[in-house]
Amino acid sequence: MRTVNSLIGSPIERLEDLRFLRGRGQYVDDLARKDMLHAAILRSPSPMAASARSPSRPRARCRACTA
Amino acid sequence: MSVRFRVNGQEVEVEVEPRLTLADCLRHHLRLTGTHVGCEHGVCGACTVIVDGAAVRSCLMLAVQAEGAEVVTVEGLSNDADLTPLQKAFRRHHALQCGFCTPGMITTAHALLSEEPDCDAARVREVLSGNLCRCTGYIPIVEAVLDARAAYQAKTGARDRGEDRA
Repeated sequence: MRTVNSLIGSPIERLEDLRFLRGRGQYVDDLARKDMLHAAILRSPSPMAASARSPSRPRARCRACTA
Repeated sequence: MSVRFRVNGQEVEVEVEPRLTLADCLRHHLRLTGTHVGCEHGVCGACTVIVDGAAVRSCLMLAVQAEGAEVVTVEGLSNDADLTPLQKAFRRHHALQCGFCTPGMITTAHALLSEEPDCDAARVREVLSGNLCRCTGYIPIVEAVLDARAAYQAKTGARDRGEDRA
């Protein structure tokens, strides 16, 4: 059988493995930027409810909060 | 609290809350992000590091407990020049895909092979049972570890013959 090329059917060593194997992969939690913000999501404790008053604004209580 | 220990051969001193885990200390204070936090309760093994020769879950250990210890992370088992024999075996056998569990696999396998370079497949499976991989399945990982044994056997043999004191 004629060999078309050497790639198809051959195991290839992946380039990205070099960083993953050395612990240098960059996942979202590994990002560190200056003044980076973190988001927290507060879900309603009630499945269906009307809000009698607006949710307390964390910013008023916490200097590290931005919203 | 102030805590002093060695990480990958380097003395470090960090100021931490007593409640901070070793995993978060390594990742956030020392910026060694190769150690990954998956489940945060000791089930997934992604955060495994080597403390005084033993593979431990850095999410189940407090940073303050590392006082005076010798900690080795995946970064400490790597060098820029070349992949280690264990890393090469992982690459050759496709023992990783997304790479998230890989640092824990490497540290766990390194601790095992350093202690038991002649272990069999059943022993490798037993030890790796504490590390979860959601991509490749475990067969390539076990094969990679078995393949890497030769390098550790050579190392142990040299040590037993007193040849590594150069």
